[in-house]
Amino acid sequence: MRELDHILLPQTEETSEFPLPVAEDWDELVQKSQKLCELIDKHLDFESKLQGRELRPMTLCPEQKVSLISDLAAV
Amino acid sequence: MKKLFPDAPDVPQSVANRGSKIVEKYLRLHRVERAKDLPEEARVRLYRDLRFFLESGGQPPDPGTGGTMSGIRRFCSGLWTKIEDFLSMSESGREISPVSIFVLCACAEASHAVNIRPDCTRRGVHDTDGG
Repeated sequence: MRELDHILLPQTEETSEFPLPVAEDWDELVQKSQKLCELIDKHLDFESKLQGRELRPMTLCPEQKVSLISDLAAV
Repeated sequence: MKKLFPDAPDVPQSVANRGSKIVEKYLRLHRVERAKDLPEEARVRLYRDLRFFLESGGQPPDPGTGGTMSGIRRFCSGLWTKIEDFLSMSESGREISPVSIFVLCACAEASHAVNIRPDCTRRGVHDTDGG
C-alpha cells in the first residue's frame, strides 16, 4: 500500500491558485445564456397570457415552437 | 407570438420540436416553470446544448450508421420519446384521448423505423439487387 502511495503521490498536482479556473469565457456564456432564457420566458409568458393558462415549451403549439426555436437560433 | 427576429429563417418543425424538448428537459430537471429560475450553471448548459443542437442542424448527437440494431435502437428511443411526450401532455391537462395518441405515435414511429419498400415486403428482404 505504501509503495502504491509512493508511486501515486508525486503525480498529484498542487493547485496554486483559488478559485479553480472553470472556463475562460464563463462570464460571456452566462451573459448569452441569460439572454437566451429571457427570450424563452418572453415567448412562454406571452402565450400563457394569451391562452389564459400556464404553458411550457412542450405544450406550445407547433407554430409557436418554430417561432421560439427560430428566435433562439438567431440569438 | 411572432418571431422577435423576423429576419431569422424558420427552423423545420422537427428541429423546433426537438429544441423545445431540450428546453423542457432543463425546466423539468430543475423543477422550475420559467428559464429565468434556472441556476446559472444550468442556464449555461442549456445554452451550450441548444447551440450544439442548432449548429449541428438539429441532428441528434449519435444518428447511427444504419443496420438492424441501430434501427431498433432508434425505434425504441423514438417510442420512449413519444411516451414522454404523451405523459407531458397528460400533465398539462390537455383533453386528448390518450389511447388514440399513443397508438398513432407508435404506428408513426414504427413506419419511420422500418424502412421497407412495398415491393420488397412480399419477398421479405431488404436487398433488391440480389435477385
